[in-house]
Amino acid sequence: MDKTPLDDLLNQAFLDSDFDKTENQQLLNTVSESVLGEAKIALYKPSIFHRISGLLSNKVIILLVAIATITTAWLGLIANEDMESSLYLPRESIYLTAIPEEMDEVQTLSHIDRLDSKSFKLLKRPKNNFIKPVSAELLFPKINYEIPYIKIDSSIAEEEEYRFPVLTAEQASANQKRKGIMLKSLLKLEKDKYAEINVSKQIKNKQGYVMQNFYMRTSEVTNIEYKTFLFDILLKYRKADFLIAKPKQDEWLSLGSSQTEAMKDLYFSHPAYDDYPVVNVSRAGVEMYCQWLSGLVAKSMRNKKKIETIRLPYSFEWTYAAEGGNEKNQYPWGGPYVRNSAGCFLANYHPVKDQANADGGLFTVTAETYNPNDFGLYNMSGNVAEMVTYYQEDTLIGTKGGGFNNAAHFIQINSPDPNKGVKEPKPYIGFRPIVMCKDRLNRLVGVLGDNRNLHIAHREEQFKANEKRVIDFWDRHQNYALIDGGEFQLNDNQQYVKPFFIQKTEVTNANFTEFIEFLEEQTKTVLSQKFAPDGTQWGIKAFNRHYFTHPAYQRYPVVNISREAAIAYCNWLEVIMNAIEQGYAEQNETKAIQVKVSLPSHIEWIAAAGDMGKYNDYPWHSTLRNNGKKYEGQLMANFKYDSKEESNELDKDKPNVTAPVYSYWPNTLGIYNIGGNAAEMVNYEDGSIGAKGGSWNKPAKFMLIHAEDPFKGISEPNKEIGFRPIIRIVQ
Amino acid sequence: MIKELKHITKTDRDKAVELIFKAYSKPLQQYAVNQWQVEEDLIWDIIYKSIYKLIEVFNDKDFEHEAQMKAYLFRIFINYLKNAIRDKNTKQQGMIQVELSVNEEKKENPNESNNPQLMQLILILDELEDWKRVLLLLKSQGVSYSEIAKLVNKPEKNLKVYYGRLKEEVKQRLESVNEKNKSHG
Repeated sequence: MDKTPLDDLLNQAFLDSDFDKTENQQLLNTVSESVLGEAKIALYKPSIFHRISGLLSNKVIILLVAIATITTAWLGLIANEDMESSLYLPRESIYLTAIPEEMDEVQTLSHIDRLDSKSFKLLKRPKNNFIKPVSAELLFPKINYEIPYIKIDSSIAEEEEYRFPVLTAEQASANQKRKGIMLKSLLKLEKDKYAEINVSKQIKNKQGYVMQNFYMRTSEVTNIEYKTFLFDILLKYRKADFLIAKPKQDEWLSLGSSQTEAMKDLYFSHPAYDDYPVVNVSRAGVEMYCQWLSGLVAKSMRNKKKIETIRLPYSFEWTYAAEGGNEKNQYPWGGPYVRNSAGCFLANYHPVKDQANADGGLFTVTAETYNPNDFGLYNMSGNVAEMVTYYQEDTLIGTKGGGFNNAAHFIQINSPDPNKGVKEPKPYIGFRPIVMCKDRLNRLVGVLGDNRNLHIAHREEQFKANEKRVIDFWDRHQNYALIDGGEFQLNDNQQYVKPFFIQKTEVTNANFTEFIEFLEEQTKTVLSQKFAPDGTQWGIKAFNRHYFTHPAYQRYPVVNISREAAIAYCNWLEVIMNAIEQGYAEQNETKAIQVKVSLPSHIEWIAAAGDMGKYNDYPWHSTLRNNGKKYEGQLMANFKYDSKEESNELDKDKPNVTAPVYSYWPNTLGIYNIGGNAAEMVNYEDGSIGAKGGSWNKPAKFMLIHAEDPFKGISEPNKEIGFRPIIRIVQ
Repeated sequence: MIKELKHITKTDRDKAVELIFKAYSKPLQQYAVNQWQVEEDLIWDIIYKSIYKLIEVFNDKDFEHEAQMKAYLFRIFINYLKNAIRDKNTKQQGMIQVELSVNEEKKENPNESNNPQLMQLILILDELEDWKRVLLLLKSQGVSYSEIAKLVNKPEKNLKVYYGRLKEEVKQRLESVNEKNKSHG
C-alpha cells in the first residue's frame, strides 16, 4: 500500500508525542509489544559437549605445546646421557688417559678443580668438533632482514641534536634499486599503480576551472616509497630537508589508545609495515616528495608519456575519481550502505562505538585492501584521509575521504571535511598524488569550431564519433573536398590552418541562377538585379547575352559578379545547408551539424591548392603539359599563351574563354581548375581582397601557387574573376 | 531471568550486549526500515547506542518483567531515532551529536517542529476523543486491530470502518486549515 502524506504525518506525530503521560505510556507499551513481543533472550547453560569443545579450542594448544617441550627435553636427555659433561667439555674428553676411580659416576666442574694437574695428563680436544656445545645462538637464531631495519629516533626532544641514521653501502644500493623501480613504473604509467581517469564531458567548476585528464595513484603512498625518498635525500646530504620531511611519530600518542606506543616506534621503521600508508607527514614534506618525483622524471630521457607535473589533487578532481564516473555515488562502491549483503565491511573506518576493529583494522590497513572502485582506485574512502587542495577557497588545505577514526558519515564522497585547514602531521592523514601529462588533443578540434582554448583532451571514442559525423557529412556532399588542418610553412613562417571543406569546382552559372531565382521569388526585391552578373563586361555581344542564361553554358564558371554578390551567395548557401542538415538529423535522430560558409582566406587557398604546403609550384605539381602516356602533350590548365610559345596540334580544342568546371585534371585533393580558368576570390590577412590562381586570360606564371596577384583590390565585376566557397563545421 | 541478566551486566558486559543484540536487534531494525526508511548504517548505530544505554541504566531500574525492559529499550530507541531523523532533515551536518539521556529530553518540547502541517495535525489530534487518537497513532505504527481492540472499548470488526472515516475527517480538516492560511497570508 502506498503511503500517503497523511500517513507520514501520523508517523511523525507518534514520534513526537510525550511518553511520560500515562495516556501515551499505554500506546508505547502496545507498540513495543507488537514489535518486540515475540523476541526472547536466550540464557542457556552450555552442555558438557560445548564446554569440551570450548576447552579444546583454547587449551589444547597450550597442552600440546607443553607436552612437546617436555618430550623434546626428555629425548634430549636420553640422547645425551652425559649431557652435563658435554655442556662444559666435548664428549670425547671422556677418554682421558687417567681417570681417578673415585669419580666414576658423576663428573662435574668441581671434580675437575679437585683433580691435580698431574692426575690427568691430557685434556684433549678432539679435532673434529662436530658435536658442538649447545648455545643460545642455535636455539634462538637471529633474523636477517633484507631490507634495512633502521630505527629512526622519534623520542629525542627537539632541543637536542637529532641523530641522523647512517646507511651502509648495501642499504644505499638497495635504496637506489627501489628508486629505479618506482621511477620505471611511473614513467610507464603502469596500470597496476596508476589509473587513467578520463573526463568524459566538459566539466567546469564554479570558479571556471576546466578539468583535464589525469592519472592517479591507485593506492595511497606507502611507507616504503616514502622511505626511499627520505634515504635518497639523506644520501645527498640534504639534512634540513630531511628534518622537514620526516614523519613525526609522536602524533600516534594523541589518539589515546593503549597500543599506540608500539606504533610510534615501529610503524615507519619495521618492514612489516612497508605496504601500509604513510602517515604523520606534514604538508611541506608531501610537496617535497612530489617535487622529488617530478625532478626524477624531468632528468630521465625516457619520458615518452610526456609527464609534466606530479601534485596533490584538487577537491573536484578527487571527487570525480572517487565517484567512478557516476555522479550519484555516495561512496566509491555506490552506496548507500557501508556493508555488503553478507555483512562484510567495505572500508576501514570507525564503525561502532568502542570497537574500532570490528571492520578488520584497528588503525590503518595495507594500502590495497578492500575492493577498488570502477577506476581501479583502492581505499578512496576510509583508511587514511587524503590531502587535497581547494581551488580558490578561503582555506586551501583539507582532506577528503575520511580516515580510520571517522564514522560512516565522514567517509562519504561529499561529506564535510573534518580536517579542513590542518597543516600539522596527524596519524590519520596520508596522501595520494596525481600525474598530469601534456595534452594529446587538437586532432579534430578545429572541425568542430574554435575550441582551442579549452583544456579538454578528447577521448578516442569521442574523436571517432566526431569523425563519423564529419564523414557522414562528406558523403552527403560529394562535391566538396576535405582538407585536414595543421601546420605548414609559408615563406619561412609556420602557419596554422583549421580543417575545412572546399568546393571541388568553381561556382557555376547553374548554381548562381538558383541563387538569383531564390531572391526573385522569396524576396521580390531589386537584389536579384543587383547581384546578377554584369553582362556588359565581356566585350563580345554573344557572350553578353548568352553566357549566363544559355543552357550550353550552365556548367561554366560564373564571372562578372561583384564581391557583394559572392558574399551574398555564401550566406544563402549557409542557410540552405543548415536546413538540409537539420532535416537529415530529424529523420535519423542524430545531432544536427551546423556549418559556416565563406570565401577562403589567402592561406586556406594556398593550403587547398598546394596540399598543405607540399607543393610550391603549379597546383597539379607537374609541368604545364601532361607527361603521361595517354594524354601526352596536352595542357593541364586553361591559361593564355605567351606570344612566343609555339602552339601544338593538340591545342586546337583550346577554349577561347572559360572552360567547363570539371575540365582538365584535378590536383591531389580532387580540386578542379584551382589554377587557371577563373581566378578565385580570396581575403588577405591585411584585410585586402584579391583573386588568385590565374585566369584564362593571364599567362602561365600567374597560375603558380605563390605568384603575384594581378587582381588585388578589385571588387567590381570582372570577366576573369569567379569564386569558390569553403565550408566550416561549427557544431 | 532479569536477575541473571543483572548479574551478567556486572561481570561480563560484552556477553550481555551479545544476548540483548541477538534477541532484539532484528525486529528493531525491521521496524525502523519499514516505518522510517532510514539507512542501515544509521539504524545499527542507534541500536548499539540504545543497548549500551540500557546496560548502563540496568542496575538503577528495577524491572519486574521482561516486557518492562522491552518497553524501556524501545523508548530509548525511539528517542535516538527521532534525533537522527531531525538532524537529517535540518541538514545541520557540522554539528556535533550530543547524547541526551532519557531524562534530559523532557525539557524539549516535543511539539516544536519545523513542519507547520505537523503542528496542525497535533492540534487536531488533541481535539479528538481519546480512542480515536489512539486508533490513528497505533495504526500508523502497524499494530494489528486485535491488539488495538484491547485498549479501546470497541468491537474489533468496526475498527476498520472507524479508521477509514477518521482519516478522511482529519484530511478534510487539514485542507480547510490550509485554505484558511492561504487566504489570510
